[in-house]
Amino acid sequence: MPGGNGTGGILSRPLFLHAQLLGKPDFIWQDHICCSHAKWYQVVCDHEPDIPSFCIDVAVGPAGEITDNKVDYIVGQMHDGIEWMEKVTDRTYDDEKLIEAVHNECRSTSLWAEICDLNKAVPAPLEEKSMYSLYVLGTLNKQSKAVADFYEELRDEVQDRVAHQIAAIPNERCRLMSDTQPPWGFLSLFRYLEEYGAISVGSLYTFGLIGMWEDKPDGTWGPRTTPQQQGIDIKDRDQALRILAEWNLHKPEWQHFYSPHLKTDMMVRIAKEWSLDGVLLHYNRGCEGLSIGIAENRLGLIEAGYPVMTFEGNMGDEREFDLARTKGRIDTFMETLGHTRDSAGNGTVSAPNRSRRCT
Amino acid sequence: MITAGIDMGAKTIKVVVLRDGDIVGTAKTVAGFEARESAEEAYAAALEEAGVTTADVEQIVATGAGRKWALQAARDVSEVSGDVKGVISLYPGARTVIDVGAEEGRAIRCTEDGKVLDFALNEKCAAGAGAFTEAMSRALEVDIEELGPLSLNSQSAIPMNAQCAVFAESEVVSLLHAKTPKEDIARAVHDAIASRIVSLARKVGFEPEVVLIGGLARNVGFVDSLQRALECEVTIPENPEHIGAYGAALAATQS
Repeated sequence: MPGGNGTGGILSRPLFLHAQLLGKPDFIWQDHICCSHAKWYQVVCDHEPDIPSFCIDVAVGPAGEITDNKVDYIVGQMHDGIEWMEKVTDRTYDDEKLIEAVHNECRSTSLWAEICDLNKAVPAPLEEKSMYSLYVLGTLNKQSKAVADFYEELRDEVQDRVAHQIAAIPNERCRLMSDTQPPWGFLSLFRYLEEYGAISVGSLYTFGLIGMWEDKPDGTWGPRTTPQQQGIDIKDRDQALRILAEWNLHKPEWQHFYSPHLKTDMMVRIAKEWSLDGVLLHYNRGCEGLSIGIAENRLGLIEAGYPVMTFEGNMGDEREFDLARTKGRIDTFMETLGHTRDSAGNGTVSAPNRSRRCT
Repeated sequence: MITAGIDMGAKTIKVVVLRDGDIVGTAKTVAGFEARESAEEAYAAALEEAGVTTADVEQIVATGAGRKWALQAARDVSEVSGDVKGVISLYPGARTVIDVGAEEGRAIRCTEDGKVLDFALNEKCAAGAGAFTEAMSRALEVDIEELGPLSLNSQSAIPMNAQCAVFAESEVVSLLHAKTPKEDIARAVHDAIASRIVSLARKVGFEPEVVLIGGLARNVGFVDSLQRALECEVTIPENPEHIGAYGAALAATQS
């Protein structure tokens, strides 16, 4: 069972038909980056003590401080894990499939970054609500050829939208980004923003949970160059694991676990390069890992001159989100940005003022 | 030009009528369960005081949490905008506005021309707002009007640890059982609200002149606690709870 859905799958399997269709896992394989992960996996083991579980500690420090020793530490765990898998499944590990999966993962995650990069265009070809539907494929199955191929098609389509100035919303006047997972039960918030001509063009979360980035020669952020693009031919297991470890250690959404300032830097970069007018920060009580440091990020964004609105909520618990009050905050925020809402949903706009900021 | 502003607050509805920018009528009613009817009642009372009829009023703007229920209004502005417009009109030197109503506290930093630079609102809990003082006055068995003056007689500061109005009420009851003087408890209540409001003010980076509006500005105990916590004097308008409606009425003149 790959990815972070292990806990949810374990808990929901007895309750829901679709979860039962997933079947009982033969084993569980997870990585450990967030402070809460250890507890999750403990709960999983409590619920399903007969399912073997293996966890890799990948919290070795930020991308800017990667050393051979740190990579060795992760690669060593993966080697151990492969031996462990062979034992619990009584099957021989197929290194060719691993090499293919690493190629696909690098391709799909770089392509997703390329897709997000295209949203620098004005008007933006994608709005974040749609991006949530698209990024999830990479979140759950980025190592598959099907997802990599799909993202290639998607990239071409988004490129076409940019070339033809096809906008995600018809009345783009104000460009925003959000942060962390949204309150999933209230995605209508994004539609509400559109009534002001406001679009959320993405977030560090949608861009960087699976998207892999790098500094381009012109100083901008762009899709990370894949091993294939560098002409690297992966020949064996160790090389594949080493590339996989180094690739993932550059994941933007892993960096802020080490310092909120790393996240602030990336957010300010997005705000500049994606030509944003403001930022909506979700104090998400449902994800400690991604919420940590948001108050610090707010200060950094304000210092960089970007208006910020914060709202409290919970990505998973509706009771901790107040739709009416959040809409009220949006009303105030848009008002301070100089935007008004009309009944037809076509935002009429006066000159935005970047010097104004709100909380 | 005659305009009106209606502030549909959570607890009370305030109306201000302006003639050429001057206040000629004000009214306030309890919002109750039928806010629309209450708004009509307050609006009629303010018009009567102003000596005008509905036909004389050229523009009406609503503000406040229930502003969508002010059916008389052609448009609305947020509480933040209404507050700032009203305050800057009266106090051009104001740079921070603190508004503490029945259910919500907010801090706003603004420029001399009324632009909002930053704002912060309390979250869902009303522990940092006027409704909290009402609950505490009930627990102390004193009239709400007496709570402020009572706290000024306090001889010692008692920390109130609870961050929630419900738990704070339990804490007040415990303090009463411990024979703690009521004036000290009253001060603890005001100090607790003030600390929450000051955290909002710090969030926006408050700077003087600080103007305090909203119903709680009438509570001398809270004002004392707030000034101690802010470590600066606050300016209080003559009718602090009407400033939002006044700002809305000013916005109506600009329609």
